This record gives sequence, C-alpha cells and structure tokens, in this order.
Amino acid sequence: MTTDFAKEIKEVMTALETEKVIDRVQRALRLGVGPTDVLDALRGGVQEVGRKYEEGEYFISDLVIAGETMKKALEILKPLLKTKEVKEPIGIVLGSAYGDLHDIGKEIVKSLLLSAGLEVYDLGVDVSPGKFVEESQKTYARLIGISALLSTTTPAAADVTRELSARAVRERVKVILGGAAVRDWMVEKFGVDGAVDDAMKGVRLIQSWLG
Amino acid sequence: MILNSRERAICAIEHKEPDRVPLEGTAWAEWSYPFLLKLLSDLGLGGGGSGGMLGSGEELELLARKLGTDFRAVSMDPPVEFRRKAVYDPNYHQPWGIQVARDILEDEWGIRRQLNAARIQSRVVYHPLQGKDSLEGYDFPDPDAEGRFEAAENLLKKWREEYLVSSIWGGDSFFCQAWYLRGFTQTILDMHSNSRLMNELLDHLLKIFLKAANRFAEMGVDILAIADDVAAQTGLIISPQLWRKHIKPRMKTIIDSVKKRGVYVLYHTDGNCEPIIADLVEIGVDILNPIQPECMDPARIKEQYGDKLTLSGTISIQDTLPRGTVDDVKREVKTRIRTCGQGGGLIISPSNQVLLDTKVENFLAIYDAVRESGQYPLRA
Repeated sequence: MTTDFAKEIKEVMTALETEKVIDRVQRALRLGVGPTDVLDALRGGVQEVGRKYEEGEYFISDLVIAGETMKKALEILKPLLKTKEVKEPIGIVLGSAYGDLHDIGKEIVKSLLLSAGLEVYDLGVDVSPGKFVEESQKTYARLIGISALLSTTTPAAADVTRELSARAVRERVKVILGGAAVRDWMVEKFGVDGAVDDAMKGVRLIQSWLG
Repeated sequence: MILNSRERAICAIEHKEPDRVPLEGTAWAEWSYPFLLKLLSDLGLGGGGSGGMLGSGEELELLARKLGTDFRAVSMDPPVEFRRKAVYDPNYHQPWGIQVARDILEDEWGIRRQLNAARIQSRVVYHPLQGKDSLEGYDFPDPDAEGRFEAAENLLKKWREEYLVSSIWGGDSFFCQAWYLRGFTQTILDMHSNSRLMNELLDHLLKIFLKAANRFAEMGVDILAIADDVAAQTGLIISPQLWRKHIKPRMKTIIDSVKKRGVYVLYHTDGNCEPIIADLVEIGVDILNPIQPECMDPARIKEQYGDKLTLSGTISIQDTLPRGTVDDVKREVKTRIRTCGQGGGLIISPSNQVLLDTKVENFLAIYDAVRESGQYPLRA
C-alpha cells in the first residue's frame, strides 16, 4: 500500500497537480502511511521536476509550482514529523549579494532547498558580507548561498569569503555563488566553493556536497 | 549611396541590405542611470545636471547624435495630475513616483519600489494586489488621462523625418506588470490554476495596453515596443504553456491592431526565450531584443528566423563589455555583423543595461566597430 501511494504522490507531484498532491498526502496519512514515507515520495517528485527542468522540459515557473506545492504538503506533514525521528536539518544562509536587489533566483533556490529538507536562513536582498558571516555563525549553518544577478555584484562573494577567513571560520562553511552573470572562473577568483548560473545547478551542487 | 537613419532602419527591418548596419542604444535600449551619467560626463555632454529625463531629455539626444544611433523613442507618460504630486528619479525602475517613505516611490499603479543601499537600483517592495481575492476597489490607471501623449506627439513630429521612432506604453507588459501588482509566486500560481482573478487582471492590462498602442499607431509611430521579461539566463521563467495560454493571445490582439496601421512590433525580453521565438514570429513580432549572446546564440537565431525576424542588441554585457578589451568588443561586433548581418535584419547595440563595471571606451568601441566594419555589402 505504501509503495502504491508513494508512487502516486510522486507522479502527481511530477505532473504539478497541486490539488491532487494535497489530496493524496492526506489520504495516505489517513490510511496509515508513515509521514517520512510520504515526505520521501514528495521529494522524489520534486527531484523529478528538477530533472525535467534540467532536460528543458520544465521551466522556472514549474520549479516555483513544485516548491509551493511542497510547502503546502509540508504544512500537513511537519506536525507529524516532529514527533518522529527526524535528522537535524542542515542549514544554509541565503541572500542576494550586497548591491543586488534581484531575488527571483534566490526564492526559487530557497524553495527547492526547503523541499530537499534544508533549513534556510533567508537574509533577503542587498546583504552585506558581514551579515552573511554573522548569520552563519549564529545559526551554525554549514552553507552560505550568495545570489548575484549582475556582473557588478558578483565580486561581493569575495568579500564574504575574505570575511570568513578573517574570522578563521572559512573551513567550516561552504560558499556557493549563483546568478545569471556567474561564471566558473569565479570559484578561483572569489575563493568560493561553487559558482553556478542556474538555480537547479546550484541545488544539485549543494546536494552533492551533502552526500 | 548613403541613407539617412530612417531609410537605413526601414531597409534593415525589411530584410534588405542598407548602407550599413543600423545602430541602437538610445531608443528602446535599457540604461543603468549611473553608467549613463558616467558616459555623458566622459563625453563632455553634461551628466544629469541639466534636469534632462531619460528617453526625452536633451542629454540623451546629444548622446544619440554622438553615437550615431538610428532610432528614437517616445513613451506614454504618467498623467499631468500624477506628475504634479510625484518626483522623478531615473535610478528607479519606474522613474515617476510619489515619495511614500525614504527611498521608496509609489508609481501610478500603486506599486512601491525601494532603492538599494547604493541608491542605484530599485525593487518592488509592495504589490497592491497581493493577498486580494478580487480586483474590487483597485483603480487601474486611465490611459486617456490628460498629459500622457503630449510629449510623445511633439517628439514624434520632431524626429519622424529623420529617424525610425519606437514607442512604449511607459512600463512593462503582461507578465511583469501582473507580478508587480500581484507578487511573483502568486502570479505563477494564479496562471497555473487559471484563476478568474488573473484572467480579469490580464484583461484589464490588455485594455490599457491596447488603448495606448492604438494611440501610438494613430499618431504615426513606426515601432511598438512590447517589453516583458519572461526569460532568465538559461531559459524561460514562465513555461511556454502558461505563456501561450495567458499572454500570447492578448499580445496578438495588440499586434493585430497596430499592424493594420503598418507599425512594426519589437519584443523585448531578457534571457533565453528560444522556446517561444516561433510563436513571436507567428503573431507578427518583427524585431527581437536584446538577444543576450550568453543566453542565446544570435547566429542560430539568425539562421532559424532571420528571414522574418530582425535581431536587435546582441553584444555581450555580461562578459565582453565589462571584462574584455576594446579589441575584444570590436571582434565581437565584427563576428556579429558577419554571422547575423547578411541580408539586413540586424540592429547593433549592447544586449542589455551596461553597468558601471564597463569602461566607457569599451562601450564606444561598439559604435566605432559598426562604422568601421558594418558597411554593406559585407566583406567576407
């Protein structure tokens, strides 16, 4: 029974049928399917949406819909998951670079990372390097995600890595820079651990770091 | 034979070879105001001090003459009554607005934008239709309000003999305006669920945009520019299915209407919009802008759609302009002319806002390179 429900939840999530996702989640829980199994099925669906996006079949709006559907499903699941054994979530501090006000890409990444089970500490836009670092220390987040759409704002990533080094915590935190004008060479130039020009690529890279 | 700007531009859009590749940058091109000020200052053309306004100001006209651009633009202004209460600051995405708080302007739609700490970029911080269940109580701007088209009519009279004149209704089109009003995520969810509110909202926008477009067509503009950022770096933001369902038919209504009067249609979206280019051609778009070469290969667009579509923009603002040399810029311009200029159908300019990390000499190299290498017949 669990397998059938899991399969169906994954299918309707992949098809972006929000109402059906919520309905199947509720039905599955009523019939005694474990919340972690339901969550895994939902995540499987989101993964599939991500794969379709990478293959050009789905678009940013589809990632948004998947993320919002997942949020709704999590509202139902969270109270139940709290009572079960759940691994301590891994935290990421997320924000748009200093000087940059664009946040569409950041919001999509946030939504996908939440779906993947990460704890996201969203600092918003126009975030100073010091604020990224302070928040990562305060929350013990092991990741920092810097979003920068413009060529002029990408160098702010170097200020973040410098600030981490100055506080002798660079080794504890992985830093990823993402945005339209981000290029591979920025890894070396700005001292970040990853540089991507697409939301899904960023999520994949973060997941690969987490193993 | 040397053509004037108007003749040259028409020739290129009609897919015939003019005397040289036409130049743009001061009509529908987007500007980062700080870079514009730097450019004007370096060229000895002022620098914002004379109170000129982007798009209609004398400084921009001086720049257009200096660069030798072949196009001019007129726009639908906010009404006189609104401008009386408002301030004008081109660092905001919508420069006219009522100051509602420090560094926050509210435009005539009720959308509020806030400047960043450096005060050179703005973002929407208040969406007037966010969280609403209906459009009841929301007053849409009146396209017939006094003072919207007077400046446009005067400028058109001044420019129409010499230049090809484009027009824009003073803001963004369906997708962007909908999400500025409603919020980004909610707009996508509304479109996905085909909500009544979203359909009513888009119909209201259509009414306003259609009225403005027809007014421009009646006054004799040459090009209607429809600007709607529906794409990001690697692909569409809104899926082609949602775009075809909600936006394409409404755009077609506008395009059909202005085409009856012989107006060319330009469509602008940042990013990679390849999945809908065939649709754009189908509904009558003549010019596609800005074709960012990091997002879409201009040569491929030319190969696939070059007999119907004129390419506008195409010079890298993410890599070559900020990080290349003058020679790199000239090389890119020459490549573009060689690969996209055959048979006309190419208008060169930066492929989006040039930012402060670009050297003025790199920017100017675009225009020098076209004058040096953009003559028809093209050299092999």
